[in-house]
Amino acid sequence: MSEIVLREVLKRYGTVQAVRGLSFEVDAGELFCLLGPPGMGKTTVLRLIAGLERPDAGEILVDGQPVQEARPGQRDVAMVFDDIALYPHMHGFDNIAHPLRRRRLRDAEVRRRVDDVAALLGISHLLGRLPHTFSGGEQQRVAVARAIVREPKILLLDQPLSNLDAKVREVMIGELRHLQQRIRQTAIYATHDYEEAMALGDRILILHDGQADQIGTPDEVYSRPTTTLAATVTGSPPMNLISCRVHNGQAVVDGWTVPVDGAPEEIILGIRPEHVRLGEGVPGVIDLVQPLGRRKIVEVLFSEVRLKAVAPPDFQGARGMPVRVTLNPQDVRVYTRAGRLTPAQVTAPPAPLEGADSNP
Amino acid sequence: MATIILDRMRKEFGATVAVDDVSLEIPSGRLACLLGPSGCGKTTTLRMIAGLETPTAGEIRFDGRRMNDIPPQRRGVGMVFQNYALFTHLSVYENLAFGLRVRGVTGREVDQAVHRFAELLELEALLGTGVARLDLSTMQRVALGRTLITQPHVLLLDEPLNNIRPGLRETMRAELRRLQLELRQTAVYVTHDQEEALSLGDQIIIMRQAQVEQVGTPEEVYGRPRNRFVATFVGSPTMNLLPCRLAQDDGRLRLVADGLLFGAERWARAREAGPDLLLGIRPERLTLGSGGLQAQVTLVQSTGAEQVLELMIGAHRLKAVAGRDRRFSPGQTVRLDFPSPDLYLFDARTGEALYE
Repeated sequence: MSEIVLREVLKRYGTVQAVRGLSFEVDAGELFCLLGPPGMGKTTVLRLIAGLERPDAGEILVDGQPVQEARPGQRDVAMVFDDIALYPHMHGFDNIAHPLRRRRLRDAEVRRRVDDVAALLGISHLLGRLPHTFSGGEQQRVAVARAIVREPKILLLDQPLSNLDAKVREVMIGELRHLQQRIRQTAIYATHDYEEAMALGDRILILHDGQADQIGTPDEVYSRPTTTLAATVTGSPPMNLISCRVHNGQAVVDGWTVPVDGAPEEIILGIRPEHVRLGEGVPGVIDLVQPLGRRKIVEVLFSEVRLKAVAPPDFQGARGMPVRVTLNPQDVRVYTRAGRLTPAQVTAPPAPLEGADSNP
Repeated sequence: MATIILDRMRKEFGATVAVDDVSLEIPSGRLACLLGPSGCGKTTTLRMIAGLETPTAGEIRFDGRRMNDIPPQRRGVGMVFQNYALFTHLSVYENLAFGLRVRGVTGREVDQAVHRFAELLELEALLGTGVARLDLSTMQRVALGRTLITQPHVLLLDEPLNNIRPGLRETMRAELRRLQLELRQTAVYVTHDQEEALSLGDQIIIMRQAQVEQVGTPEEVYGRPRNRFVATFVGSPTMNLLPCRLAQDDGRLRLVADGLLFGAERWARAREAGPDLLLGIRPERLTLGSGGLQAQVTLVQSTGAEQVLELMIGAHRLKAVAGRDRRFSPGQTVRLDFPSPDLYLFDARTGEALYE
């Protein structure tokens, strides 16, 4: 188990700045998630740590030692990718044993460690079979087993679940979290899927244009996203963001207002859909109802502004019906027009704008 | 707009049966989702509707007319795939107009249609923009517009949102659903993502191993699954299943599940089923914090809005969904209850759901 530190790391490809002064620390035994849309630099960060790329500036330290000059083979890093690269002609056992044999471990030791890791991942039945008989989830379990069997200092996972069916992914997320609780492997996990990051990560770094937008525990990132980008890459559906102006301490939205303390003139209000309550408050019209099994996503349209709300499965509203909407003031976040979280507070629930028709 | 009928459609590839005598009716103006795991036959079914695969047996009809021998380009189908196959060197306008021009439409008619669909898909401001400069979700809207503008009898979509990142995908789903409610286009949509199917489909067709397991509305397949497969495939986290057996106790029917006991009067049909049963409950229906049972928390996963807990109750492993108002941690003991109206029962041998 090792700790990893990145200090002001910079990486250019030609004129493109893939990583722009990135700093973070991963504790020993921590699973650290890099979350961000495609093209934001996640894979480059992993490749820098693995030694497959060299930084143009900055430092990478493992257990306090700078490693940016070390070759990949000297870094003791294992990687798992989204396109699973098992050796097709080797049985499950030999695939997993491969990194041990390369290190010339004794046969008995190889067998013991492969059996242990196979039991840990529930894949003992795959050891005697060839990869083409494995399902997608099984292939990925074998790939993870092969990566952790030699107990590397650092495990890097690059969207390992992105090619799996939704249902298989759900199962794998639970399994990986269990595994991590047991082995406490220092790991960095890159994904664009917020559900994976929330469920798996001890902490999450939200990567945006090669820079850290926010670093925090899943709960911190979810409940107080420090930028509107962090707000939109987390949550399903993501946070509602409403641009509006503040007059005399009132944010004027769309036929309704909320009082705000300490806000600049132009702001963006951020409200998670599960914090939008239906049934009382300011009037709007239901624009869409989408059932998701145990909940429904309801879109409420005012004149122009649209708010997504989460409703229980027995919610009876339908498209075109009027609905009333309210918010808990303490659940509303206030951002600057540029998308930075401000300490400003909404102090009361929404009220109809003076002079506005309260019955559309 | 056409009603699609599949009548005992079958497709074999060598010794493999990809689609096994599937019969379906997709009503005119409805969006049907073909939902199932990889390899269940959903894409092959879609390709037979398109005419890209020839059925080994069975008949396909659009509005009563046999389509088997009609080539794809004459079936009036429009297709949208996960790779949008747009002309990246052309503008949004030219991409939209293309489908009409190859059909011999010219002049003002093209222009009117392009503007109408651009308005519908909120692409008006981008008509002059080169497609190469658009983001993925906008490209997908252009791809959709290019197909819709030809006003196909049948619109076929094969996992069109696969390449779109989560977050944006939900926005696209809402847009697609809104569009569908406005256009009422007969459409078949293939996906492996149950959430996508539930949120988009008027009708959900669940397939497994080349066969149809259930056809129903989103509410039906979620609330009244026909069998164990549908019950566990639809819904996230997956429905909990506990092996149990039927027992008589003072003349009353009980379900015994390794240390747990449940009343079984509700399930008149339980007696006819095999001795081995499965008791089902959805994770969000378990009552946490009160009730006569004790469970140990073994895993806590945050989804942001909620927490998904893994619990051990005796030898049973269960999942439960909890709000954010209470903190849970592994090792902790919690009280819980199984509200009886929320229980499902399945025949363990056949997988069939037993209802009253």
